[in-house]
Amino acid sequence: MQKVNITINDMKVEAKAGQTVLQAALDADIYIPHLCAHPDLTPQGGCKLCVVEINGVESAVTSCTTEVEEGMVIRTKTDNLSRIRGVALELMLASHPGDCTSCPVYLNCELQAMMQYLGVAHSRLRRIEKKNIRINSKNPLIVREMERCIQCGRCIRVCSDIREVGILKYNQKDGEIYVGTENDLPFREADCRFCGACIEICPTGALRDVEGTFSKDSPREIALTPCRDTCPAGTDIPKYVRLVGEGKYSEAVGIIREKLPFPLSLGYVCNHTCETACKRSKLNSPVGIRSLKRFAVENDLDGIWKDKAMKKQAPTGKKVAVIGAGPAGLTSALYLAKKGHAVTVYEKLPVVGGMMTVGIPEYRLPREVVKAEVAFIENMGVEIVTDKKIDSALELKNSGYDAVLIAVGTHKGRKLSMNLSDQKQVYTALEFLASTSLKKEITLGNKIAIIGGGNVAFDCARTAVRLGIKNITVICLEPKDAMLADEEEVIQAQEEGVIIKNSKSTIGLEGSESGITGVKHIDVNNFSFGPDGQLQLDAVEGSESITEADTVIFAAGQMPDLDENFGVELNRGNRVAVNPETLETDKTGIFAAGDAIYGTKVVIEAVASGRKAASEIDKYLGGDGNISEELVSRSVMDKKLGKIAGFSEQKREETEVLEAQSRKCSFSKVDLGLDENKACREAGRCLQCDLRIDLRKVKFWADYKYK
Amino acid sequence: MKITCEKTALAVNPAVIENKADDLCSVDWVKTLFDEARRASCGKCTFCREGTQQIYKIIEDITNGEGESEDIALLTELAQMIRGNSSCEIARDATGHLLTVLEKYEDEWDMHIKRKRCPAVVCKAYISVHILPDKCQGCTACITACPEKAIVGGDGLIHVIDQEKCTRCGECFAPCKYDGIVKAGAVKPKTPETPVPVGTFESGGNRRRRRG
Repeated sequence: MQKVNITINDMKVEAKAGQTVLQAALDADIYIPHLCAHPDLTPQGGCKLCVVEINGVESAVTSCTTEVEEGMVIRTKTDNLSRIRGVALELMLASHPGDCTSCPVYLNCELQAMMQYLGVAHSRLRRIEKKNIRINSKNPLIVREMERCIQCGRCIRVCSDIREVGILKYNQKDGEIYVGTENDLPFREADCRFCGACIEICPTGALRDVEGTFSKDSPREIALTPCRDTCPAGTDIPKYVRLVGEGKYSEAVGIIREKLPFPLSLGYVCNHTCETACKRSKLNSPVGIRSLKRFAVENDLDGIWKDKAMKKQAPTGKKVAVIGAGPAGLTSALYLAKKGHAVTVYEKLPVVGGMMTVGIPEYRLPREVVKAEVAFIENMGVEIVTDKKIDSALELKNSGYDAVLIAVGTHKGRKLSMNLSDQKQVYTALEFLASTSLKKEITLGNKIAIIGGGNVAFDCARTAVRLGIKNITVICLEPKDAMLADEEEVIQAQEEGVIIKNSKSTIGLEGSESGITGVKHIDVNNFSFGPDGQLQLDAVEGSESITEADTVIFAAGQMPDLDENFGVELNRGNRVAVNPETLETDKTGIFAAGDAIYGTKVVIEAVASGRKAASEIDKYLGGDGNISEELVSRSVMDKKLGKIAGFSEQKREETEVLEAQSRKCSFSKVDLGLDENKACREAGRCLQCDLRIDLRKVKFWADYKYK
Repeated sequence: MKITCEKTALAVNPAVIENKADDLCSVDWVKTLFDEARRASCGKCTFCREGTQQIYKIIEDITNGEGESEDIALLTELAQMIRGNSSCEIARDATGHLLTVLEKYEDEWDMHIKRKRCPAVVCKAYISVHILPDKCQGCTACITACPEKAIVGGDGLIHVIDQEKCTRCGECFAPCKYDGIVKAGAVKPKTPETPVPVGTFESGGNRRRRRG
């Protein structure tokens, strides 16, 4: 790069050829006031705050539009320049609200900082109220309080020059100029891509994100992508959604694999908090992130992530035992093996996968999917011993392990304490689901009542359907509109003929020693949980009724199958007590993760917990605890979005689901996923919230050396 | 990199203001010029976008009787600043005309701001509209034309303008076939307070006779 020597305020500055005077000054840590200039945008020379004087040039020039020339002698601070800047700022302030303290960006506003720097208070000029400025300013994602707009045009330029969407322009009505869309259309109708670049680049409080869009607890660059922010494992969702859209399925899987070793299993069953948080849901419906994940894995032909993912650090000589081969234990085992530790996993069941294999029914998550993903972990050198029940973690540790991880999950079902609940044909959900999964005999009648309203209750109901039982009722405490189970589970169960009775509290079982005849319940107006977790009911007097049943399944919660002999301190509900920072139990070197510490949750939580445990155990064993990986190098993102007609109305692509009649009679998978066209369209619905993170931040004057 | 505004100057004939007719108000003329300028601005540059708007607003105030004594100095400062620094010809030309007019017709601007008068009888805040009783033939053409229904009278009666209702819009001038409607500044013509039959009103005489 050719150098150009210039002088700014008597200081010798070496600038790059082709740079503007403003860039050269800012690079040399010399501040020149500026508002409409932004490091990512083509200069407009409009705000006039960046004026400078150049020897040999008669009038002041805007430094953002003037290129450096060899030998240029520049002054940035003269009385004349102060006057120009002062009047320019006063003119902007004439139509800007006078009270800064009530503004949401108070103290974080470029205009306010400029008033401070130039010593200009509110204007001595006539107050200008632009009346047309608020036309159609409402939309679900972008707050537009345009009375704060100073028409610097940064949003217009980022929308047109960088995003190539170009829906913003200077509008003119009744002699007023304001920033708006063509014909003042609402943003949705104007085909806004809702990327948020205009918000990111606005120097004032005129454009803001709708309150509550982003979490305030996370670092900003994470919070700006709510999907990624809410994923317990922190998967870089925007990146892989983009890669799916580009047809780079293997790269997409690499991104997912950076954070979790069960991408396909989760592609089937993840509870997708990411979709709940997705900003697109405020426009119409969220991006189908889960089905895109599944599509990517199923179409990953190259496995380009594998070489990097198989890398292991040199053996440390440390031995770790993991109790439980579910998602938490196996995740932890994988990352510990990568850190060079020798890992053995003990599983009391004859099969691996934990709840993914014996809890979640096969029609939701095919067994070979889990097996293949576990096989990868075994290939990484993790030894898995099945049919091996561990009775004491402490004894296991003392038998020659440097560290032990308890990841036993919650495999002990709970029955409500009531008469006859220990009779035959009264089961817990897990007894029922596990015996089906393990193909064990279990005696069932013709009429099954399932007590509970979560996903587990529906897993039981739909499993029973597939076992050929015709009469299945789910008795649920919650009302219809507040059920705990996923909506699709409830709908599909009903399609399969399951009857749901809502707002009913089970009060007893009917029958005798010779057999159950029904479930007695009472209607409930309302219920809540007291401070000690005790259920408080507002029941309708005299509304008792009976659901006929010869078999009863309690899907009313689970807990870890542990007792005091296990050697570590347990909390209420048999949960393993851990230090939340380190996941270590009361015994040194014994850690715990997953459902065993926080109660029954979901696979992705278990993965996240397993990752944390791996990191903590590695630190305990003398490692750095760093298990982060980059399996796919991040290419430069295309900043261009382009305008797409009808973008905000694009409908979510739904996966193909087997017809109720054909899915009822087998355990084969119900959800057939997306095809390539649908996946591509679905990925294209993403708002690409991560793009705005790449826009450069403007430095305030106080951050410069020479101000 | 030279950023210029694509806008070219407004079509203004400076001769009109160089030797202005007695019924042309320089304040009103510049106001119209700045109204055009602000509507022609592309919006990119502060001095043109906000400057022409601001100047228009100040001049509008002056023509509305809301001018302040500092306004001439403020207008001069703004005009010089914008003329020297705006990106486009629109704002540079308009402010150039403003500076010329401010200097050449200083007295007229002073009259507007300090004495609340428009010598050319143009600025609506400073004028009133009257129907001359010796010209009016009671034809009701002006009554029909008035959008504010501010003219009272009937067939054969001298029409009278209700000054409270009149907005000085000037719609009544053209329909009058007898040149009977006039604008007035400080000196107002004598007119009846209520309609009287055509031919019965004599300025001065009428009233005295009644008293006697």
